[in-house]
Amino acid sequence: MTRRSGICTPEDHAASRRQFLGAAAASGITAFGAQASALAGELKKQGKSVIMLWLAGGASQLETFDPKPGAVTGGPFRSIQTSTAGVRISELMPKLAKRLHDTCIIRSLNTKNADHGGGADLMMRGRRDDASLRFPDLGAVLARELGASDSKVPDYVSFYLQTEGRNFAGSGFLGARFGPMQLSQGMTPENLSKPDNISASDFADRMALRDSWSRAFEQGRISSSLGSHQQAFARVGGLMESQKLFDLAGESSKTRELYGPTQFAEQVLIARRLVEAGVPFVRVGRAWWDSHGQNFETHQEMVPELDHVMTTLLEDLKQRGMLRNTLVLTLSEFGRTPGINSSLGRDHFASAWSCSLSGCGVIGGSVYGKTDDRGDKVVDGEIGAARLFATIYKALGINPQKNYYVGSRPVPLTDPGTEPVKEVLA
Amino acid sequence: MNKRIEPLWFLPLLAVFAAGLRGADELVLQPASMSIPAVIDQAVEAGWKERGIRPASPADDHTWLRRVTLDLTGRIPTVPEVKAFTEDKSPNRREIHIDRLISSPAYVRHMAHELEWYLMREKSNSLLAYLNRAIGEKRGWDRIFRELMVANESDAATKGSSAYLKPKVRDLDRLTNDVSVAFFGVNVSCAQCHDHPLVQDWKQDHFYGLKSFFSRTFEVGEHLAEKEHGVVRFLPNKGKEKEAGFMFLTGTKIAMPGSAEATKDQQKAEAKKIEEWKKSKTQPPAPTHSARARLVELALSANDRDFFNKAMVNYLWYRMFGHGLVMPLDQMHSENPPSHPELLAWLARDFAAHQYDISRLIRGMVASKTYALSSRYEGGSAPAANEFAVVRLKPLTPAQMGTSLRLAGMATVKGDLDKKIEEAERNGRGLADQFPPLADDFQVSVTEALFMANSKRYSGEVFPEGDDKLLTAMMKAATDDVRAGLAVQSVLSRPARPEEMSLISHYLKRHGGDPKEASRQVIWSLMASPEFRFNY
Repeated sequence: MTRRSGICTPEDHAASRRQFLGAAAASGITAFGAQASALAGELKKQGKSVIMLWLAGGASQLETFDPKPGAVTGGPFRSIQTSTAGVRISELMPKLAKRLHDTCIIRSLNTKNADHGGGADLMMRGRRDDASLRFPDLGAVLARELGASDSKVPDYVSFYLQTEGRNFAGSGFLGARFGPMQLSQGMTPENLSKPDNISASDFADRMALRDSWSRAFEQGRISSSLGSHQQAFARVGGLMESQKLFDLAGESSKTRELYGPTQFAEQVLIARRLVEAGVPFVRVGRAWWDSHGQNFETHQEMVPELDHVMTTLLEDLKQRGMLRNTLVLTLSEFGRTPGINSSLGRDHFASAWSCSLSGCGVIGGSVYGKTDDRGDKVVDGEIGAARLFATIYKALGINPQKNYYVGSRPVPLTDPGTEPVKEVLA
Repeated sequence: MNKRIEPLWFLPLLAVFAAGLRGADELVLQPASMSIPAVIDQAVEAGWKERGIRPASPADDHTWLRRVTLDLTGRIPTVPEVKAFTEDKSPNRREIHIDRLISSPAYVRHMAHELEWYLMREKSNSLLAYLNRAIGEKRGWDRIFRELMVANESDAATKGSSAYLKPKVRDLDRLTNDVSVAFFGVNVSCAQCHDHPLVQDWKQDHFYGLKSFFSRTFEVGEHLAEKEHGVVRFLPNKGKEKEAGFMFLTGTKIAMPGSAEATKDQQKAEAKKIEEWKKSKTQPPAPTHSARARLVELALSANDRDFFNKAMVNYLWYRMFGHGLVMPLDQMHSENPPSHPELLAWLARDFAAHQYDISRLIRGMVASKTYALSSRYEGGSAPAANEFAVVRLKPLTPAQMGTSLRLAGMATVKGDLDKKIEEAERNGRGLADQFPPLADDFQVSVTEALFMANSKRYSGEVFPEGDDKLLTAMMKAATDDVRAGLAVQSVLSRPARPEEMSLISHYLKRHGGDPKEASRQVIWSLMASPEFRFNY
């Protein structure tokens, strides 16, 4: 028995594009109203950014945001009281516990896919690809929604240096223009610095000569592909300038000490620098969470680093007045089983797990959703990837039902009918 | 399970398309005896006349030669080819040149590449060996379709053909849609037209009907196998679970043996057979009645083949003219009619009548006057893309970029031309990987510009030196004007214009301290120009 999902039906589209256009044309006032509110939305999203802390391999919700001390599934760690009355998190996160007031924890993810590849695809895109479309990931959507076409900084930067779980989601049908600047080899991106064999003035002259060929060719020719070619070369200089953002020598030693000396900490600090300079989306991937064996040692080692770096980032953003406009996400492809296996590990688990949203557009110090006493299943506020993404878009001032067009096919940012979680939105 | 999401939306469009097919019979088509270019030009010109459109001027010889060389052989013309062509004063030199390109080995390799991308949509190259053989032997598109569906690996002639189905067979919904898009021009996951009044008459049976033909196919180790039994059951939008029949998009049904529930003995026998196949590690034999083979028969039968005939015509038209007669390519239904219905119908009929000969169709398209117009439109805003009154810019594919960048570094060709081209294709592969594949509304990324501007690897590959190389020829040249001429000729496949000569000469003089580096910079600027990046 099969029931297909992922493609839509008449009732999903209450109004087709044609109907919408017809209706808008028929009613001037409504159309004007719609336009005005659309414009307000555009203004609202200006200057917004996202830093995603991607815990590749699947961090355990039980050792982070949804501890179950005393339960048979609970493991050895205690829970501690947070700055929000009645909310407790794992003792491995004491720093976040003290400043939960900017963070919203979601404890009720049921995303159904407990396979690394499929889970990562889902949690980076908010939905599964359908038979004919490869959807863009969150970074590509935000590059398009929040980036400026003539921006002097990248739109989408992705750090992922580890060898495990390299799932690079990509820009899907939005194409290479909105794809990530990948840092998979080192801390500075490829091809951002001028080659040694050409002087700075020659580099500029060469580019000017190219520009003259470009201008001549554009006479009498109009095409958006052609425009993008000119745009791409026009951005080269600015992007090369942005290389300094990747160099932590530009940061005070005090700030660097606050973040700490680990690679993850340095990448997150670079992410803050990038966002400060106007980059709309930065993902910092941190691998090795896939603790099938020795889950507790693994988390004992890794959660405190996450706790420290995440809270330092939140505090830093707050002090710079940036947290209002920056959404910090901690997300994995899935969580880990409440059941503890014979290697004292926890396995893949997508039915009841957690993530967090901090800063821009969310109600700090809140918890949404609930799992049962053992953490086996969601008992309240269950949501999947689609509603999480709708919530993220909404928090950033982006309409989750906004359509992109692939040919003439309307493709909304989230599947039709998907509601954001209003309870967590500020 | 999401009950709100169902695949029914596309059924009405199939219904209206089927209605459109009946309508197509009523179109008045030009006589079958007319030539392809004549029919194209007449149909397109009639549209201009009707709507008062002034077309662009014809393209000059250099532009036309670059365009047709890229379209037919996937690379820019070499300097000696440009010279030979422009010095040829015979009135039918364009036709002669088209024939020469189509009969060259590079054409076969290029078309194999193009079709690989069309069918696989990802860089896999797994189907290339088969396609090279099929196109080299001038197999018709109908035969290629049959061979890809039947996927017989035991026959030397069709070796490699299973690479089409194999990666898709694990997701039969996707496979059904892929086949439908590539061979029938209908995307079954599009979300349009769902409130057409005919919706009640069209059931999910059509989607599952098409899927049925693949439902007996599965993988055994490295091989594809097909069972003797099996039907698809599905849960309709309304009502109880039901059994899909074997039905084509047109609504034509066939009776397929093995549709009855298999008996216990039959199931046992089948399980035993599958165990043996697993052990033997050879290709399992085809079933007595192959559902996939029946799909081919049905899709190519006289009353049902309109989908098949038109889809490829529209795709090739899109590749040659940069915009389909129907856009998007996978929305060939009557809510979305062709811009030139008679033309599409005539070309589809002609394609079928000539054994689905792809080369013949392409030859006819590129020999038209419509194909030979300029891409520049002056004195007013350009007419809509579907008027074909001005030629569209087409971004080069990764393979076209890689090969062309290698050829652009050559001032001449010594020895066998095809060998040199093959060498450029091979050496250009690494570069090709740095450029993104084609997409709707293609946008150049800044990553590409940064790669060209700053990558050591790029500069290490595009300025080769040697007897026949551009950089070496520029260093040997007597004057800066000669150098300018050489650079433009090699990279842009045309003579330099006076203002370009003076700009480049001036540049070389101003950077005279290191003449070789200055020449490199000039070459770089031309390769990074839009004139190089696009087929115009």
